[in-house]
Amino acid sequence: MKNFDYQQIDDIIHSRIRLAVMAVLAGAEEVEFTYLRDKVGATDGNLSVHLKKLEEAKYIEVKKSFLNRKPITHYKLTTTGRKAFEAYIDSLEKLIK
Amino acid sequence: MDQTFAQEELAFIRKVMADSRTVIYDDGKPGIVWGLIVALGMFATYIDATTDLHFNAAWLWIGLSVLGWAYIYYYKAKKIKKYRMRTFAGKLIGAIWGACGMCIGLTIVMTYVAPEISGEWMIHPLALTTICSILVGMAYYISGIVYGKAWVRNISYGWWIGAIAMLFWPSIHVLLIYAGMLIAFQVIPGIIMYRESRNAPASAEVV
Repeated sequence: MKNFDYQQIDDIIHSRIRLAVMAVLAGAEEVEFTYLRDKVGATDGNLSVHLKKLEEAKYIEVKKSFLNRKPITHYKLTTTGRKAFEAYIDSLEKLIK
Repeated sequence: MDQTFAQEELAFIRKVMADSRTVIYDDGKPGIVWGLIVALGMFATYIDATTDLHFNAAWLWIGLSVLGWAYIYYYKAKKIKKYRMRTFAGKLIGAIWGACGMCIGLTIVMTYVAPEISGEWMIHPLALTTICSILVGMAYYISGIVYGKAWVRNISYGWWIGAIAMLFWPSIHVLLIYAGMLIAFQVIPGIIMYRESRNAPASAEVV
């Protein structure tokens, strides 16, 4: 392991739940909140907090709509988020090398 | 953060991404509806051509096509409203079948428009069923690979064998053969997919 700078690790992604959210969104185009919750295995409240953090960092985009008067929220990875996710993977790979 | 942690983290990312990418859902309904509509049209055209019961087959086909596309529009609109996840695989499947439908539509139009322009048949109407079978077979082959279901991919062999058989037996009876193929290789697989989708509610609403 040479020249690894721990400060390169993105703190926003560096959490199990947020990392799982980013990974799900990186593999899909758009994902609904409940699907994300089931996939990540978090509670509604906990997931909301993590999603808010990713949204504030402009890593994810939120789309709200209604179905039979019930609100539905879909999430999508932004270009910034995708780049950050790729950079995060790169830094992990560097660490292994 | 050490190397072991980084390796675990990467393995976790790969697994989650792979799971999300391969999620695809098809309830088979569009296949069943289009299969029944075209099979009905083929059967009616066969009756028109071989018996004294004459009617305007062109108008029947226009009516059936409008009915089929209206259903697809309704189905898509309903699905888009309640989707839980939109995947690249889902988009790919939609693109494959959309392109297949467009190719079939253009071939049919060209078959009947060409004689009006050049005065000659560029494509013989009886060859239409063969061309359609080849195209539908191709769509099933790619779909099967995207779904990761060998039995869906193998349906394409049925379509292609049927296409060869019709090519070697060019008669009005190809209309009946094609109607039978639609039931065997489209409607029945559609019913199987529909049953599978009912048993897998967790993967539902993925487009």
